[in-house]
Amino acid sequence: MAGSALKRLMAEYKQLTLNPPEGIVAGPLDEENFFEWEALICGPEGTPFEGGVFRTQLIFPSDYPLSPPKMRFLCEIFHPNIYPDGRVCISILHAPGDDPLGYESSAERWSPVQSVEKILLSVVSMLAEPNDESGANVDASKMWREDREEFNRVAKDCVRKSLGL
Amino acid sequence: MDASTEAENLDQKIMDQMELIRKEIEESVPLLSHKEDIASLAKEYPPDDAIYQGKIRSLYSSYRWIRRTRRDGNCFYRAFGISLMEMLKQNPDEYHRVYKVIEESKDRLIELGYQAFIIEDFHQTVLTLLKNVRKDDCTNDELVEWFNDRDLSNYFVVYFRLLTSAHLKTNAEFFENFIDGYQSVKDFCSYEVEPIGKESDHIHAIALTGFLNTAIEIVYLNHTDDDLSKHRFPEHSAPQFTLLYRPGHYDVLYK
Repeated sequence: MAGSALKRLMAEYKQLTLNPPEGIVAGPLDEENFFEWEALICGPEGTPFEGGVFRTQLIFPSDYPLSPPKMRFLCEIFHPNIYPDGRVCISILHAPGDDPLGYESSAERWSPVQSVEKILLSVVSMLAEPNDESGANVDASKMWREDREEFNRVAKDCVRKSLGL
Repeated sequence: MDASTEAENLDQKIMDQMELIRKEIEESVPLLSHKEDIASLAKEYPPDDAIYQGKIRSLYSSYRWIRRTRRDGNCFYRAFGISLMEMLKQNPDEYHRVYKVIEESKDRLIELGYQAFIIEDFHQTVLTLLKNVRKDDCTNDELVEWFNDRDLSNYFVVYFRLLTSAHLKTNAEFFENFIDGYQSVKDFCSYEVEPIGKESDHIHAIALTGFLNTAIEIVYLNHTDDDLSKHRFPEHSAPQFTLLYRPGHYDVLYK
């Protein structure tokens, strides 16, 4: 149902452009292809990621919003819930049942009434508060738990790199 | 290979496997079958299983046909949907009443916090279906065909899941007592009702019939040593249509 998916993605893009959430810019890279978006996410204030501007990519399936998009960080980022290759591991990107990492049952899940905006806001809170139960990056989880000072230093490094410094 | 890559590969394998199983099921059964003789049920159970065979015999006395649904977690909504449309086609008064409820339901969902532009397409799909039902030349076969169109059918399922959620949220104080394991009705809805493919239970049937103000009967066929049990939603109502429940699955029954 690519027609419905396109209509919905255009509506979401319009909404995000008219009422952009703080610290987030998102939209299709090329208006000829609404199924591939880029989003810039500002590292939330008061966290080790503060000051960074992180480039991410969202790929939407042809049956969106029945199925969720896939999301990936395009820049280097060291975080317990982001795989070393940049893929984001949060519950809102999965329907219940489709969760080999065993998220908490109360965590927000994908359903067709979720949206790009809600995903991006969840990613912002994930940057602020990692979930060390779901270790997409085991080294980052371990460091987050055991050596917060070193974790903060590596995160600051990612911030500098995200700005091209 | 480091530990995280290994875990990641395993996750991917599990997900691929699940996807494969899902596809196999999908290709073997239609979303909704045509009516079949209810005798076909008996063949699904061992001939010497006295409990099942006995219960199926007592089904024969009241029902003649069964319409099967695919076991994809959305069976309750599709079974409910086709039965509702078939009933509305025969009953103009109910048609006008239900049409109005559905038409106005979008505003109720918006009041509950759903965004208009997010629910619009699902709402429109259901209204279009209802308009088709009203046409004189709309046949039951066309309705079945409509429900077998994966995209339309799934949009219908999404909207009826939202109506179920709406009734639960509107009556949260009451339903709070029945959502074991969840902190709030809102959490229950976002995990157990709204995602496509999540199976339905008693509470979903109570909520959906409550929202639409329809009356249904569900006949339970399970392996317990008692008579065939029948439950009406709401209790003591005169049912407008009947579903068959077997643990984890709903089909449609016809007289």
